[in-house]
Amino acid sequence: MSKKRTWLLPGLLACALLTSACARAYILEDLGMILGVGFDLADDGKLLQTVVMPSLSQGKGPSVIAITSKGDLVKEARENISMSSDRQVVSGQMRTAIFSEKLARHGIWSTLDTLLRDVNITKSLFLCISDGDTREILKRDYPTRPSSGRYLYELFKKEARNYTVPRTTIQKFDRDFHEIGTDPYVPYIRLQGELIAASGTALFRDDKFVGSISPEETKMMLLLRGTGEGGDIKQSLSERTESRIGQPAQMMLTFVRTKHDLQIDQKQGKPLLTYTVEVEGQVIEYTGLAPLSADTLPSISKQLEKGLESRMRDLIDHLQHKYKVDPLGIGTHLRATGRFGKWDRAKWRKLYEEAEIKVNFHMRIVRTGLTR
Amino acid sequence: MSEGRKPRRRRAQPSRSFQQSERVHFALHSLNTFQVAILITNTQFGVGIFNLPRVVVEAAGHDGWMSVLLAGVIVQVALILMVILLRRFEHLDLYGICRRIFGKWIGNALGLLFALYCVAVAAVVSRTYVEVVQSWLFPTTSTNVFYLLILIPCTYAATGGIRVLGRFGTAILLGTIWIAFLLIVPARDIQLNYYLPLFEAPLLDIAKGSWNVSASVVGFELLLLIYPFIQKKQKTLMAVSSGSWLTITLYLSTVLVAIGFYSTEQLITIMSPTLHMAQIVELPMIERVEHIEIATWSFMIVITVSTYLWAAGRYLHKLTKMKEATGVYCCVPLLLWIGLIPQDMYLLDQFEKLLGTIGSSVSLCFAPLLLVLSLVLRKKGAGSEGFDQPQDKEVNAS
Repeated sequence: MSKKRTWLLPGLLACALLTSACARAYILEDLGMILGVGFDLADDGKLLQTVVMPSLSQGKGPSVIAITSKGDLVKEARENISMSSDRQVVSGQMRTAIFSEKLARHGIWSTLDTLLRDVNITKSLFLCISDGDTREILKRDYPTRPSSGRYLYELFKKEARNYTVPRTTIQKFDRDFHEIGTDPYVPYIRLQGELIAASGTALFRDDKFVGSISPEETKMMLLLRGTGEGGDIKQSLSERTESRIGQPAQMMLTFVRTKHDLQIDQKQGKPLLTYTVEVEGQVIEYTGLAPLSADTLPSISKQLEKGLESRMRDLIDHLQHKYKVDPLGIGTHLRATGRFGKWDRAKWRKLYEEAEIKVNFHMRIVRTGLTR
Repeated sequence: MSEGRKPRRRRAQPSRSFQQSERVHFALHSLNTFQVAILITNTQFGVGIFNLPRVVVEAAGHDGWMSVLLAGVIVQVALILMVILLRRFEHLDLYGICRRIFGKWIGNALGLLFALYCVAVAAVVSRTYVEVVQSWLFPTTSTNVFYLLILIPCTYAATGGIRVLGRFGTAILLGTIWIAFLLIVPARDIQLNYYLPLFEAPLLDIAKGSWNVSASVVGFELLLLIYPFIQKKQKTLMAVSSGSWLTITLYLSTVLVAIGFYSTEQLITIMSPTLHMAQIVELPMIERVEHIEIATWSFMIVITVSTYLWAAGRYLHKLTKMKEATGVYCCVPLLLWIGLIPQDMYLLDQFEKLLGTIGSSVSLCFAPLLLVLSLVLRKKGAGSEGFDQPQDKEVNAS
């Protein structure tokens, strides 16, 4: 028996070799790996898709190929792209997907569907919204990176650490989109002359783009969401400087430590939320004349507190009443208390609209840098 | 196989009395306590965990993790009843117990049903795994060829007998346990709010969730067959319980991470949340870690399938006195045939559901039923009176 067993397993496993031809072969040289993809709305209502792929051609020539194509479906457009390329187009290396504002106003969920359904596309795909044509953005050459897709990916990764844009992958969008209590939000980019610049956050109501907020506001929004350590923020002070006439003194701070607390109460059936944000900051720039000392610091931090608090209140007011979106996830917080009964989308929108949201901002300057 | 024609070896030969030879047989093939625990864990782990977070959340919302705990408690109760039953019948396994309680004909028929069930589970587990491989790795490759390929190592391991399976299982658990660490990455992105409010789901929904979990925890019923091979029978309950609770712990952590990582409404839309969570992991050199996870998981599939296959083969071995390995080979055509029936995802899904229901009912109800019947009919273990036969006695018998 033991003799028989020795040839049995190798013999059977040899059969496995016969199937090696069944799998589809992917040869690196023949692949067109999509690094970034952009979606625009064509005039006739179809989807315009632009992809950038690295060009593996020998010798000189453009380092990337950008192809635009039109179709009703994303995969249909991709097929058209594939037809106009000598390479097999694959999406396993896709890093960023850009949607134009025009398209996003009509909703992006139907476009996202295939990106989520496709097993080859990573769930850490970065999403963003651009104010103009995504074709323009993707076709441009960037000095530091071989391709615009890669460039944007690195840009977002870096800026997310500075909290000027949110860190939102397709997974996060999917999560917030489905969650009854949070609206999704993604980075917003603009073409500024020759460069792409991250310029804040694009806000969504369900899957429809409704507006954007600036990088400064993004920092405050992320602070209210409980992150933001290491971000910088600028605040004007009441003191006037003499150097630039009429200009108020300004101070730039880095948040070295942030603490964040949310208290939820009910007032006549309406939710009453109180954010308490405690921040320890370090001065990195100060244009005032009064030296920063133990005497002046308390009043300065009072001013900072007041200024930031009112700016946060304005932001919340905008989110709540102008855009009517809930990127702060207040609905999720309310739902988690379990005090508001049966939860659904309509209830969330109603409660969010009538909620009273307060902000208590506490600021402490712990360091002033190397000078006073 | 031609082994049947060879002069039989002593341990398989019904020398003197049947009972004594059985006892010698058991003494030679013994599983230590650790291997028993591992074997239970291994057979429980199959393809169920891939979809587990979704199926519990579908039933019980964000309180779904309680369903997993509840399922663990139910399994524990079932295990206690099983051990009581097995102790009552001392050295007999399920097939022997059936014959003792119901007589030759009905007992054999019941045993046949159980053996068929084992083959069906083996078929569905391996076939579902092939489906996972296809949807994640090789969408265009032939399903049937893959299915054939996965059956080769399964059959090979099953012919080795329970002692080989016990050792193989230990190696496999050590080789696959690292997959649990992949949960760390999604766990860093957990939203605590998603767990709240606690106890929102009514108790009935949590129980329904447990029913959904039960398809993933079946496997412990094989204790009914491996019991005769256990070295230290006094420690059986401890061993199988720790094996089962290891499974529950791993299931629970997976479900907890999934609930915190995904929003409840999103989780329902995702086919295999466990694999999706692995997709989030990005190592510096390696992307698409889920591919490695799926490939590694094949070991888990092999041990599950081969243990079930061995269990089915045992039936033929007991019935016809053929060799265990021959019995396993005889089951393979059936296994192959069952697995080839479902050709698309939906049929397979229905198959899975049906078998999950059968499996949960069998593993939960069969042992208590037998226990009650044996009490009513006053049937008892093989000859001797005491619960535990001292180990040295068995060794002396050889």
